[in-house]
Amino acid sequence: MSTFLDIVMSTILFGILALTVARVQTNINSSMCQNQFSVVVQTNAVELARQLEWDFAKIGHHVTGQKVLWADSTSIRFLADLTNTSTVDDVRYFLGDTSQLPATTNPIDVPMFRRVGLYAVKQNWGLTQFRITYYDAAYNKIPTPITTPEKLQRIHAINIGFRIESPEPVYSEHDTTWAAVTWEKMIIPRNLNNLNY
Amino acid sequence: MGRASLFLVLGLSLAFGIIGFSMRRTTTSLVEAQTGYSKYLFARNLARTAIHTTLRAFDRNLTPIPEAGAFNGGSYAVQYQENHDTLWLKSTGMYAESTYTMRVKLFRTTKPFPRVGAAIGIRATPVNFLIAGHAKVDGRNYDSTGTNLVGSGDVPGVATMTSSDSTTVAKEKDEIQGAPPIKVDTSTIDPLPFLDEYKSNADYVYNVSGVYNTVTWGTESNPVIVYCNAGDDTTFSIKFTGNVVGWGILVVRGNVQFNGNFDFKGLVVVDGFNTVVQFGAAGTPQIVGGVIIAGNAGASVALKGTGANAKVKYSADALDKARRIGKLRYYSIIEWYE
Repeated sequence: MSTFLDIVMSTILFGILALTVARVQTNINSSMCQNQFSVVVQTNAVELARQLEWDFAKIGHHVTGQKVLWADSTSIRFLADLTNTSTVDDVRYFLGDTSQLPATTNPIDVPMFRRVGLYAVKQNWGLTQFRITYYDAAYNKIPTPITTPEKLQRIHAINIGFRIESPEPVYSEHDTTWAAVTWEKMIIPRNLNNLNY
Repeated sequence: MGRASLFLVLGLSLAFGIIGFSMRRTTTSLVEAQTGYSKYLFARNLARTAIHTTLRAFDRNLTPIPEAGAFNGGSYAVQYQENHDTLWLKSTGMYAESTYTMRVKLFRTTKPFPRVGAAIGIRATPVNFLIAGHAKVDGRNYDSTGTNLVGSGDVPGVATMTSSDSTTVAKEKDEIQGAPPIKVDTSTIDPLPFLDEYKSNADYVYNVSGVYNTVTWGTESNPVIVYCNAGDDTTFSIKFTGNVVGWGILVVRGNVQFNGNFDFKGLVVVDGFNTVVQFGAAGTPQIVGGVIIAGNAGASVALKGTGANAKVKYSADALDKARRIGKLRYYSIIEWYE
């Protein structure tokens, strides 16, 4: 009788322990997913920020005449010698739509296209928001779209903001929580408008 | 049973160890991504700081121009090349393992300078103008030393805003030379909008009445701004004795007396209602460049010279050199690559 009771109690304790371990394992997996998605979105944010800073800081470098060709709230086209080789590049940034990222669970992420010359690269950063705002020398906002050369010449500063979200939900397949990072910066391209220093 | 428990505990420990290690590695990646960007920003800021530091060194005419420095845990290096008004800079900021380079081409110039179209340009109107003693005004164009005539570029001796002011000045016509000696010239720029900047950037400020001994203000290659503020009270005066030598811009308000061999090359701006600029009896006191009397309506200006050789001589060359005051310099971006 005593041996039988020991076996029953052991089984119950083992069951409790196994359930506890399973629960801990689930939580740990969830945390790891969260961490992993955080790493992905933050790394993406850093890389995208560096790319935008790299490109936008060069707007107008080695360009005579019109430097920004058009400017809208989510797209821009400008000229710049990106590699400092006296070859002017025609650079475009614009967004795609959600149907162009069917593989991700996130319903609102869109690809970004960076076109230099004839070559466009579709970039999947997990962008869910992307906004470009333009300011003149007095830091008055210039309404978009900006299409006329006179208005384009007034552009002095460019504010860029974006939000990147994880492609999959953080906790479970049916969850709607996404790891996210927002970034915003005002860039003053030094080659615009004969700036003084 | 005991053996099974031991295996179970060992298995769990191993599993938690692997999970813990994996989580820590993920966290490390996260921190690396963030600090990597932070280091990049630090390096970029250092490169920009280096450009600022180098330009200020040029403004102060430092010799040699510092080509490296350290700031806030990082360091920077600058290479420069200059050709007249053009300046090339290559600045590299270094922070931890990040480096950031900027290549910059700048056009170096100075802020707008009030143009003087005469040895003495009077913007104030009406004006009470008096030349007493032997002070002379000469609108012929001298070199920057004030000793040799250039032979071209002569200007009027005194330019006034109205014909009635011209008539007032003409009472002193025996002391005035130029092409012509006196002229109505409404294009004389009022220096008042410039004065606040000159006063706030002055290298030498005299605000207290008294007698100041031998003074040197700047050099030909390093002109400066001097502000003598004797105030509008006519009893309040500043006197300079001995040799007073200066290059640049001299702003005078109130009664100022220059004795001995006063020798100022550049632009003198007379700002005030009752200003007396008096040259002493001895020596050869002179202003080489130009004088502008600011547009304070009804200003009373007296130029007195008790000696025989006091002169205001026009010199386009001296005015041009006076423009190169470091504090008034600015840089236009021709190219900026980063």
